[in-house]
Amino acid sequence: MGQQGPILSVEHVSKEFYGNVVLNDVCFELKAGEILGLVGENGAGKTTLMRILFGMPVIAETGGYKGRICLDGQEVRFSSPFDALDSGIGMVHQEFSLIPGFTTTENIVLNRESMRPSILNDVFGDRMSVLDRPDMRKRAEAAIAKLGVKLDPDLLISEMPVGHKQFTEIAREITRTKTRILVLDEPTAVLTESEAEVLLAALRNIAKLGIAIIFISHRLREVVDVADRVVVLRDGLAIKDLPVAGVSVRDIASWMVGRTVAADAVAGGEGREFGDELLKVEGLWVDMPGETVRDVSFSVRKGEILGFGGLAGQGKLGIPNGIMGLYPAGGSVGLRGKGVPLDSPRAALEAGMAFVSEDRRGVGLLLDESLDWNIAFTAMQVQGAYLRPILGGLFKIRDEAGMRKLTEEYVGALDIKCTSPKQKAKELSGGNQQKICLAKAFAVKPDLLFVSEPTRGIDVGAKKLVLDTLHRYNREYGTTIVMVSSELEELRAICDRIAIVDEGRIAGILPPTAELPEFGLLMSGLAARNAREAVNA
Amino acid sequence: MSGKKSLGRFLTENAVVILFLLITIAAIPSSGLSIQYILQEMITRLGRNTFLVLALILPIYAGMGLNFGMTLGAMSGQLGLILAINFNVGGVEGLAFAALLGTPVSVLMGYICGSVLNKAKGREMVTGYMLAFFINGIYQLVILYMMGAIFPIRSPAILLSRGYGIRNTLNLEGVRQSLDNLLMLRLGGYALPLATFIVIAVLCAFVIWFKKTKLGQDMRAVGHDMTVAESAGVPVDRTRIIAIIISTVLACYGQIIFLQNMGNMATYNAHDQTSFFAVAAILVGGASVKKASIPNVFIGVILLHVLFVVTPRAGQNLFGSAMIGEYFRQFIGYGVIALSLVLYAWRARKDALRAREGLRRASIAAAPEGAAK
Amino acid sequence: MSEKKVDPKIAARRLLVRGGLVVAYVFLVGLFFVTGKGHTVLVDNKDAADGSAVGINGALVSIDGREALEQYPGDRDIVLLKGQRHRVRIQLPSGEPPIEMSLALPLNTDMLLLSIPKLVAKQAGYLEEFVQRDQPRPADEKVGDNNAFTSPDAPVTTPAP
Ligand SMILES: Nc1ncnc2c1ncn2[C@@H]1O[C@H](COP(=O)(O)OP(=O)(O)OP(=O)(O)O)[C@@H](O)[C@H]1O
Ligand SMILES: [Mg+2]
Repeated sequence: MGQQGPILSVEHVSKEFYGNVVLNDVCFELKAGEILGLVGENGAGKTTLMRILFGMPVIAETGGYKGRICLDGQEVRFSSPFDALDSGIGMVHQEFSLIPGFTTTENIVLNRESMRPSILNDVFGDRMSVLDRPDMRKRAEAAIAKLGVKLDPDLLISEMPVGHKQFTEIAREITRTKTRILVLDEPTAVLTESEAEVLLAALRNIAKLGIAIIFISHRLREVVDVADRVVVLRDGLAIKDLPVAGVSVRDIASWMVGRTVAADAVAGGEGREFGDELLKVEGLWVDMPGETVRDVSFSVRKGEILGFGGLAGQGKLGIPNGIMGLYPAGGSVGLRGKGVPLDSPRAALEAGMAFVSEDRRGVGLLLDESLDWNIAFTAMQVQGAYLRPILGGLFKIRDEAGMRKLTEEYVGALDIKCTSPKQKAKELSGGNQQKICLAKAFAVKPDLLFVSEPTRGIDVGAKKLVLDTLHRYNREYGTTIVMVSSELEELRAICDRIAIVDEGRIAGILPPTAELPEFGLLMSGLAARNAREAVNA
Repeated sequence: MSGKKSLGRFLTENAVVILFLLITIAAIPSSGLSIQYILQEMITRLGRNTFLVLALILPIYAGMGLNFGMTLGAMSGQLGLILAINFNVGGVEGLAFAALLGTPVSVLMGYICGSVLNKAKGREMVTGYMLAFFINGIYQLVILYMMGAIFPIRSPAILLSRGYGIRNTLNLEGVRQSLDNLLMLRLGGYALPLATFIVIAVLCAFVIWFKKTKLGQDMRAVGHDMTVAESAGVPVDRTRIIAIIISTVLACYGQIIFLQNMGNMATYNAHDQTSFFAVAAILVGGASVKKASIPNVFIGVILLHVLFVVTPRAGQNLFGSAMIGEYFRQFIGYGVIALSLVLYAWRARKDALRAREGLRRASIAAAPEGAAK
Repeated sequence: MSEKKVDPKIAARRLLVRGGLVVAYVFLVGLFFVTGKGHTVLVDNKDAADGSAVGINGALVSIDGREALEQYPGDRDIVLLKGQRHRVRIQLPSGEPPIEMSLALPLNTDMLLLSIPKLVAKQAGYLEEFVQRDQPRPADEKVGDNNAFTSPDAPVTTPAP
């Protein structure tokens, strides 16, 4: 049935948020079993388009949309995601919607559990049916098998690494018998490259079953790898819609930003001189689910940029989270020789450390507050900045003008797409929210800045801006930076030293100029094993 | 070493239970009561109170905390009993009659309570408590002014002398202990109200079964994370209302069982402390706002009531006044609720600490294992 | 949600079951009302007012096989009964075979007078409703303020939990 007409066609869809045009006359079609790559800069309108397709209530609340969406030639206008689900559209959201205290199986079949009717059904309705746990498990296993990944059906979500959560969500969508179209909004943003590989293979498997897939990603490599067709959005316009065959990453990138993108980033450490030791960490352990740090010691000197790389789940993310007091941690951390308590984010901030979290929805932002407030918030709380005393210091009021100036500065520097500094954080696109997190940390003017996955979910053009900004801060203000990233390339671009974390320990520290295979060796854990064998021998 | 560790863990996990056990054991000798007497008292009180305490489990399961709104169910049960007395229906039939009449009232009450609690998500406990006061006002209005004036009352004996309003204390002669005596087993000097225990066992079986149903699973999902459950299509509000309705209906039956054992009923305040003592019992049994099981209920009822039996006598013997024991009882009730809530928070901290320790151990254990490879 | 898609056969069955439950509910309320309804029966051995029947000396009256009441002229015993159909057995001192008969109590009565002499004499009206005239009522207690918080004697009036 593959050569029949399109199962989904988007016709002349336009959407504006309070006069801000986000989508402008977008058209494309999708056939059964086809994988469509949807790409575009941060704020280009990808997520918005998918929200329209999925009938998310935000769309109706902000004035609906223009144009038509047709399934099998019939116009549909969903009033809620449940209508969309009923019509066979499944969506994996940018943020997880799983119940942490439930097992994989329970989450995969959530609200679609297998049941056996009980005698009370006739009295109180179907909900009195008894769960058929063996069958639920069987279905979950079948879905996992379809994806072609390894997942323990009985593991609690709270005990899983992020990658597995992502698979669980996808497995949930494909267990719906009706699902014909699967929408994935940046599913690989939280995955390592190898995990992403597995996911892409899984997507190909699903597409073979006849399910059409819309795949959104900022990793253009993946789009080129997996998609059959690519649609490029720029400023709300679908400027390209063509088969992927013969298209290169470079092409897509330049269509996205409307100019040619320089492939090379800033050159990395060139053997600079640094000041005294600023941060000394010894025997650090951190209990962060999925990113356990077991025993890590390192030191950072003033003015240095230290990078942490490694595979997901090995603990690199746990290091800044533990030092900043966001997860239970132990060991000793000293800043300028003074000990820093490990269970108090506030103490860490006051000591002069700041942190840009990899979790942009959780700890990052006050979503209901305005941008300037978000950017200035930490500085205000910790240092009392942007507060003006009035009535002889009896009260303090916010320095609105100062905050505004600050916000405008960062909106410019990081190219944040927003309507005004007063816009609410939740109204920004995912990538732009991430930029706000960065600006917030910069505003504190910390001595030591931890950045975790700074370019996750940020488009190709803006990635360079983010890295440039980090670089500039380091050179101009002498800010010491500890950067954690799963993208080796960006670590190599700006770091002076790169530590590779494996099994919760540092496997080795390399200069950015080291050969790629050396990094690979450390990541694979081989180096550590060899070393241990050498010791044993 | 690990034995010591797990002992410590056991102690922190069951701190409330252990604390209560210690107080109780300390108070028993000074009360001068025989073990036989205390045992018999426990059998009686288990029969009397367990059903009421079991009514608390499902709302905890659905993430709504301790259902202080169960008082509404207790009032419905009392209404049923008043009607049974009014029509002079006695025996087990009288109890069944009261329960049948109380059921629709308690369903309605549960619905109201559930709907209100849905408007106050995250503050269910205090809202339920306040709602109980409000409905108490309505209950008093109906019983004190309308009965006999608007609703005809057949039996003048239960009316106040002014001709309307129910007497302050009702004699439940007709139904007194009729469930308990239905199948009274005499065993080595102890009287075991078998029928009551069978009813309780059936309820326990129901709770266990219920957790395996789709509705039970939905309640669990709602209890864990309302937004995720909602986005998966679970009707969150409806599920929460159902949890409260079931709890209220069970409280209605529980109160009837409680009162048939007591044999008389303080019309206007028998329900005042129903929720309060039920909550105290389940907390003493080691439950928390987030987690409760059937064993918690039994342990709690036994521990709390041993203390209740023992303290007045201990007060009498130690201080020469039973009153002190009576006040001690009130004090214990409120005290244990506060204590459990504090200990709950403390325990959560302890848990985190223990998790960290586990991490440390894993780190030590991991190295040699790796080296062996 | 799930109710929407039930197939008509199941829906019909559910309607039936639920309707049946409502009927069963009403039936049970009625059944318990009838079977549990309590009656106070005064077993009376006084002379009839018109002298047509006189008290029996030493009659043994047993209802529903309970322990017999030994009655002498002028006696009046109270028996509490549940339900409407009962059996009365009267053993006369004369040694004749005992009189056995069934007793049907009207549903809406609370207190009845059973006159043994009349019954033995096979007169009509041996069972009649008994209306208490000057009911001795216990004095009212204070209403509504024996609250544990406000009243010092609270622990005494509040039933021990
Ligand atoms: N609720 C809202 N109210 C106002 N504006 C909004 C709202 N949601 C999104 N926008 C705006 O719509 C534009 C498109 O956002 P969208 O989330 O679709 O971008 P995106 O392509 O998904 O970007 P990213 O790659 O960063 O996720 C953004 O400029 C954003 O500010
Ligand atoms: Mg997006």
